[in-house]
Amino acid sequence: MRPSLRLLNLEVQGSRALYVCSVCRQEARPRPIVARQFLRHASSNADSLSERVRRKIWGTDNPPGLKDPYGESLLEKRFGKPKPQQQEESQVEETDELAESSDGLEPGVSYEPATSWHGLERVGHLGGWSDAPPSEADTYGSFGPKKKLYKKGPLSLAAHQAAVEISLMHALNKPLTNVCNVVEHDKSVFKMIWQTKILPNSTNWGEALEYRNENAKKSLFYIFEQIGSAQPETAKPADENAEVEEFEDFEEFEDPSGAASKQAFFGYQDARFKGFLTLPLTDPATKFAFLKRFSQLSGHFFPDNIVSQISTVKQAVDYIQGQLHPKPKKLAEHLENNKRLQAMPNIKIFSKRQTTLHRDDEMGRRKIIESELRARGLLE
Amino acid sequence: MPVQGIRTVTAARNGVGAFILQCKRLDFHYCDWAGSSRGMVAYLKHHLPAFAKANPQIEIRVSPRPHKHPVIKGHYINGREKAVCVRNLEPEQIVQKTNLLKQASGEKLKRTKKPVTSLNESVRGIWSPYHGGLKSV
Amino acid sequence: MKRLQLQRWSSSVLSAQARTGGRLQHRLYNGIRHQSTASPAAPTANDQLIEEEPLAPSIHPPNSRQSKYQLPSPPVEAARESAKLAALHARLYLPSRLPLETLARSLVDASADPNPKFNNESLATLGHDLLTHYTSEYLICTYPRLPLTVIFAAMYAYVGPKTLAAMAREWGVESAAAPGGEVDPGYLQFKRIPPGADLKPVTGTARPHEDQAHWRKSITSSVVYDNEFGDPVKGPKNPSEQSKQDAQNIKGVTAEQANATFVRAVMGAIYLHAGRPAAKRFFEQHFLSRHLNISDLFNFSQPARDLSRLCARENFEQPVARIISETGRKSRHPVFVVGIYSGQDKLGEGAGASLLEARSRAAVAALKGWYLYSPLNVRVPSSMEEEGAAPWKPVHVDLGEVIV
Repeated sequence: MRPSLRLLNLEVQGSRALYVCSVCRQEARPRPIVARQFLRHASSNADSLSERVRRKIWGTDNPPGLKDPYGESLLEKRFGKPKPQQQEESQVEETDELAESSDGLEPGVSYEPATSWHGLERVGHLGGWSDAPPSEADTYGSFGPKKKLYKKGPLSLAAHQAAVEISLMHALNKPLTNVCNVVEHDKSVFKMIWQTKILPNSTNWGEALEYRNENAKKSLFYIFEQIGSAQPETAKPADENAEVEEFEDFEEFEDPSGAASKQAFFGYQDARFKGFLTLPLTDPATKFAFLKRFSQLSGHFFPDNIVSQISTVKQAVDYIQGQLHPKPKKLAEHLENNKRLQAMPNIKIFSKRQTTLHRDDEMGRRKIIESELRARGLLE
Repeated sequence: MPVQGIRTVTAARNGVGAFILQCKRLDFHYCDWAGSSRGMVAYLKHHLPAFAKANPQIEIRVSPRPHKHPVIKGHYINGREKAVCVRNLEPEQIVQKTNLLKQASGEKLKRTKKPVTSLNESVRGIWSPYHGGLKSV
Repeated sequence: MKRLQLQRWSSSVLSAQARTGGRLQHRLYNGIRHQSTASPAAPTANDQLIEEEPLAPSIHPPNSRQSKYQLPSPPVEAARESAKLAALHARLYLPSRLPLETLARSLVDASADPNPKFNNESLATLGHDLLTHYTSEYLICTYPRLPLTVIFAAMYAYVGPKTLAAMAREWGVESAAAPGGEVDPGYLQFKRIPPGADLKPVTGTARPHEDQAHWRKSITSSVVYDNEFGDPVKGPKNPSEQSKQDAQNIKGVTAEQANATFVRAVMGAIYLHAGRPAAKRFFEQHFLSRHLNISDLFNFSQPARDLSRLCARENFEQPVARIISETGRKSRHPVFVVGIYSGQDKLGEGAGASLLEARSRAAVAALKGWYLYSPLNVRVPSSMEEEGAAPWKPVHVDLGEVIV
């Protein structure tokens, strides 16, 4: 159906559009013939040909049977509205009437199309928007890190951290996704997380953790208790950690230059305990929370079909590993990566089809051919 | 001049002394896309390193030939070449074909009637009617 | 005997910086035999040549596509990349101590790359000397009575350029169409003679009265003036003049010459890198193992006369030809079997369609029987070079052919 006709239908049937702009209305209007043809009920008044024939056949002014023997209008059926009895008014009037009668306005408030912009609510800017001061919604905070993780060590560190955090939230019985509020922990907190061991082959997330000592457990619980209730800002937990550190007995070697903090995970290379790999991701809420946190830490995102396939942490880590190191599609690449073939001097692997041109070049014939062609002016 | 020397060239006896394998080059062509190269691709991945290690005297070239059936082409010292199409063959069958090409001499196939041929003269000599027990008529 | 410092030699050949001018010098003078009265090149002249030699770019420019086309021969690094070269190395069972780079160098002819640091001329010079040395001592010790002309022919058959070219072909060495830096180093590279050019005979030999072509050349003179195969060779020239001339007009060489040079260079490279035993083994396996029937190399013009001279020289009784048997003397196909007797000893026997033919065949058989004498348990002098060799017993070498 053409857009203009669609618009016309709405107009005829009365409608949900409260306001149709004048251009659209003008565009729709000059096709009354089309509209007539389309809306058969427009002609089904008492004076129509069929009605007169019926009257003549039955010999009365009120013939029995259906008033319109060819069926009701399709549009009437669809909208189920009683047809107005008198259709003598013009279509425009009808439209206005219908719009007023069936709109969603509260009773007592009448809709009047505006003719000028005075008194209307102001939306957007009328120039000079760049002079306006930034509002709160204008500041952008990234969800994930600025750099994606590409190496195996940092990836397992991220997975380990995510698993420990989700386990802590399980243990504290707090909303799991709250851990995503803190993009990066303080170094001391991260170290505690790093030193926390996840028992391999544990199925329950809440009881999978084995802390380094009681102090660590207490401080971790304290910190993560804060995270749920505290404001979702990165700086806040760090401030709170400062007071936590006072009763910590860990040896702290503060890096005054701050170079270590520039690196991901404060320069840690790999996860200390690999028990997190076997944690199950069968519970949808846990899976969602873990994957969300893991993508936040690693910078890699999981498509929906992969999310539905993943059932352990290991699969999630393997997926990202596979994304980073895809298998070669071409056989030539595969063979060139083969160490055994590389060591053999009598094998030569070409990635492109070898033509006579290659052969000529290899035998030294090509330069002769080219020079002869140049001499004849066939090659510049 | 009492005696002159006649210039000739010594004849090669391959295998007396050194043996030169007659197959000097094998070209492996495959297609990355087509299914008829499936066995060939598997052969190149898994069997070729062992073959190349066992036959260092054969120059091996692996190059794709898109939209064509896989082919192994052997080049021989006598200048001839022998090509075998290995479409839809399993890797084990390709191993056999490769061995066939490796062991071929490059000559046209012909029936050998005598099992042994030699450049040396017969030790026993040819029978002569003029020696031994001569019969006078 | 002082043992030679092989390693030092090979390093000097391998390194691009090595000065091969001295060996080149040797090449220029190797036409001169030691029997000749011509004085060998003075060592001072050698040194002078080395000093005068312009310093060629010692290292090829870096490996890029454009610069490769500028080079006269493939760069040294390309040898490791070439599968063809590695296959050739394995096909010849070359020792692993012989690196691929040297094999690649032995495939570059002097006509392709005139720089003596990158072509195979020095290796070929050494290889040629080794080959002719081993072949000649084998021939003379195995057949001590061979006439010199037959020795020349046999030398030509074993290590002549035609044989060496055939060997290179049987080794599967292909020739490049034209030399250049982009060419695979596994191809033999040389500059070809343009088609239609006529191959002029060698001129400028050391032989006096060279221009008198119709003069008879004695065998003795060819020992002095000619090469190992009895062919004329270019005589010595002023070395600086020679090198200048070489640099100016590098004419092409025939494929046969280039292939022969390659085989000689391989021999020299094996000797330098793997030592003398490996070189000897290579020689036995690839050269001596080839088939040659030496009795086919004789061409007698007057065998009966030669035989009578031989008997006179050796103090035998005068040879007498006698009919052993005959058939169909009056028929269209008579056959006479004639034996030649010296006293009671039958020297030879031959069958022919006429009495004269049968007699000369019998004389040929008698002469071949004399000339082709071969002692048992032949040892060659070079076997004394090995460690712990048995004490040398002098081998018997005969006077050679009769002088008529």
